[in-house]
Amino acid sequence: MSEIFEKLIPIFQDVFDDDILIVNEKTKADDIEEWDSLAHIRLIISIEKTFNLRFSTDEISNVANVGDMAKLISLKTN
Amino acid sequence: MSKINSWDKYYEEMKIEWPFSFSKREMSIFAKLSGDFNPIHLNPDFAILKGFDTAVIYGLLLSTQMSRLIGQELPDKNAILTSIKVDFIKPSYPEDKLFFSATLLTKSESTKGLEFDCNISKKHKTLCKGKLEAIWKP
Repeated sequence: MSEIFEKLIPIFQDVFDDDILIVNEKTKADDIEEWDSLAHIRLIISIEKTFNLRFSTDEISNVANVGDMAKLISLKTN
Repeated sequence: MSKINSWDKYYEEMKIEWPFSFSKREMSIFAKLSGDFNPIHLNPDFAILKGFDTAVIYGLLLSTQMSRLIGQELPDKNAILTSIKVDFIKPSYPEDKLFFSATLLTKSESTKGLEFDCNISKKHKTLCKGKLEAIWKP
């Protein structure tokens, strides 16, 4: 899981244009002011590209925080 | 059902292209619309002094083709432009025969996000390139 976070953190920093942004398993959209619907789309597309996978609408709708996202990535890449 | 079908008409690597040009009159109209009356765009003598061949087409006038792509040239009218990143590489001039080309790089099923790579060229040389993002909202 730590390998996934090593890749996720730079994605968040890039999408939210914040070099010192750190996310953890509990981080959710409400915790980052700029995390609106458009940023969400950029985030998901960037994650899909980085991990070379595709999410379905259902999979994304069940993600409540970054931990859920990391688990989903782990599930889809293993 | 028809709305779902129109999303299916989008596919990655889809290419959309057309030729276009801008006239001096359209440059004048853009000057009025934008409020940018810089002589580099309107006065050929001034532009030549600056090292250009003649008055230079406004970069953002070129970018209007990106608006045309999202609003007019896609398989349906459901895409909304959300981001443009453009690099202006070489100048272009009124009446130049230009060519717009866009490729759909990413079609995200989960978010209905779209990413396009765009290129404006003259005689196969790139003048302007950009990346566009849009969302698809039926």
